[in-house]
Amino acid sequence: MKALCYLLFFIPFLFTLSCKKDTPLPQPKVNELQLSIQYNIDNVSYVTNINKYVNQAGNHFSISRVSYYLSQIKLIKSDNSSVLVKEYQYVDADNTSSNKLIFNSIPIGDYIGIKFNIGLDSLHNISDALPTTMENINMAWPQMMGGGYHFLKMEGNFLDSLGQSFGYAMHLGTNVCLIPIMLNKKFTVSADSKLSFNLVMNINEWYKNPNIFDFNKDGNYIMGNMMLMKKITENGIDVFTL
Amino acid sequence: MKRYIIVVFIVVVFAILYSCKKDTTLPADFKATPYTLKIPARFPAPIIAIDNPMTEEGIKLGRMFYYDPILSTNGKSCVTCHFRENSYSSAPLFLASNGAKISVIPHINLAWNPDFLWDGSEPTLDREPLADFGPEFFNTNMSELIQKLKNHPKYPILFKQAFNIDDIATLSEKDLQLKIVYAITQFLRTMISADSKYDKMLKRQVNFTPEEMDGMQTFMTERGDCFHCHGDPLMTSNTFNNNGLDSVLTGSNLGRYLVTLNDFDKGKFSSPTLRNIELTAPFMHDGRFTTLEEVVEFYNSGVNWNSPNIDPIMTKPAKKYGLGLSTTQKANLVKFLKTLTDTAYINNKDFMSPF
Ligand code: HEC
Ligand code: HEC
Ligand SMILES: [Cu+2]
Repeated sequence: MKALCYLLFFIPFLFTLSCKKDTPLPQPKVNELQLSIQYNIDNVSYVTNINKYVNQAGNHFSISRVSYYLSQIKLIKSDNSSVLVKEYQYVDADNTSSNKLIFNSIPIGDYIGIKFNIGLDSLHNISDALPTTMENINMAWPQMMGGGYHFLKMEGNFLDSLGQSFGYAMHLGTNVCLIPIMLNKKFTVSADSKLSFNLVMNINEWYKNPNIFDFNKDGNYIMGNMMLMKKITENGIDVFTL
Repeated sequence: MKRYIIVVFIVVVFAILYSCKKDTTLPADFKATPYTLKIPARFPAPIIAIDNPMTEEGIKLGRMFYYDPILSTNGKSCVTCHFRENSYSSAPLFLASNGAKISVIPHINLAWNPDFLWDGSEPTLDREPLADFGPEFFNTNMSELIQKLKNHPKYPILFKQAFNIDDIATLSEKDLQLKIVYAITQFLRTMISADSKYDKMLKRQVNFTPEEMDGMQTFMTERGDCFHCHGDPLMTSNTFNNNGLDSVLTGSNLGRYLVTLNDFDKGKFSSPTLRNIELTAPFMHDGRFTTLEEVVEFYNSGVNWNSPNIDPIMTKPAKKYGLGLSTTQKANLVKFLKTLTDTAYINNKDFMSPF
């Protein structure tokens, strides 16, 4: 009887052992830096399709989609030289994995900040320059409109002046609307260090500072309208904090 | 007692072996030849099922099932509703058991679809045709089908070659259905269209007429804004959108909502590919338009702005009074849509009946 008990006790172990090769041991990663992108709307948490946000212009709005490219992600060393860690990255606010950027083998040293663009740098902002993935082709900016890719697609609904729910689509693109971001942050990378930072986008910053964007006055759509795209571009400088 | 322990031990050993089944290699006599899809230039990676790897033999078997009424008790096969000339769709509307009239969806580039049916209620191609065994379609009698397949001169060998199944009768009815469907979907994935006049123009093998060029201008720019939902190269964004067909939504017009029960999905449908659109009338989920001219006129002047969840692309300020296209621009847009017709696709012998 005792033997049976022992046997039963070991069964679970046998199962785990027997399938060991299915679960490879995590590889040790060296000099890793992780950026977790998070979203809020003036301190209100980000949830899709719920009309509960208010922007600077007083528009009540919801969000159904936030997707964008980051490019030329660089870590800035204390001597102002920089380390390119990623050429470009597609981010969809609703896709958890695309909001977790992990960089490995970062050179040891003291750093003073992180730099990147919202949008694609001109070398990548050419039709078919990116490998064709489902995400990339849905971000395409047609050849006939200059080619390249949407830098940003932000969509949802707002309550118009009559109180009726109405869609908006903030689509940003073209080289002149590239948004350079520089975030100061002192950190040190040493052998086997593992750093992790939160990169937070305040979505309401797209609609204020320096330009108040009002869905009711400026309209619900900006793609192809350079004046409106410029407004959003200028507002984009401070959407991220680190 | 001892015997009891031995039984437990044997069970455990088998359980352990079974739990690692995926590690065992296929028997040496397995003959299926792996098949790699030829992906057209500029297309993204297709969505391939890990549980249904494509093989030459699987495709061959699937092509036979696609055409063979042996699966049904009413003489029907897939091509009863999916005609080659119509890019494997057909004009008569399908009357669902709930009374809804549904336009038959063409079979074209399905390997790139992330969702199936107008409301996207089926997420996996390799499950979609399971419904076809039901009373609305084939009304299949499974025990009869097993006998017919067993006694057939070709199917038993093909099952062996494609799936290494020695005796169909050893499969449960459910497993047999799934294997039949797997074969068919392997065949469906080979049905690729990327050789329309539009594709040839992009490859600089042919030129567009000035009219087609103007139509493309409408399609691919803010003038008509079609590209946002029917974008290159698949000519679909593979997203759910409400293009404003109705201001009041009832019954099957609620679309995606009937799957998710989220209010913000009311009126949304899976944006369809426009490849071979010239061949697949009538148009929209309920086939409400019979010509492309009607469709273009709808986008030009008939969009219901007050439709719940209407896509923001449809309601930008410049569209307030419709697209405002001239008669010529509308005609040219239709001409552009017709450049998406791929006659090599519908004349491809590999997709035709093997019988
Ligand atoms: C009685 C007519 C009929 C028959 C027979 C039929 N279909 Fe269909 N098929 C339809 C209709 C109608 C739709 C669209 C239904 C919907 O969206 O609700 C459809 C949709 C599909 C789709 C989804 C395509 C997409 O892009 O979403 C697939 C795949 C499909 N059929 C495969 C098959 C296969 C395989 C067979 C044979 C085993 C078959 N059909 C037999 C009428 C039929
Ligand atoms: C906001 C997204 C969106 C835009 C923009 C859009 N469509 Fe559509 N289109 C759809 C959806 C969704 C359907 C299916 C709707 C349904 O059946 O209820 C559709 C259906 C169609 C169909 C019928 C397809 C079929 O298989 O029956 C045609 C043709 C079409 N659109 C052409 C166009 C043209 C031309 C334009 C530009 C003038 C355009 N669309 C702009 C989303 C869009
Ligand atoms: Cu756009």
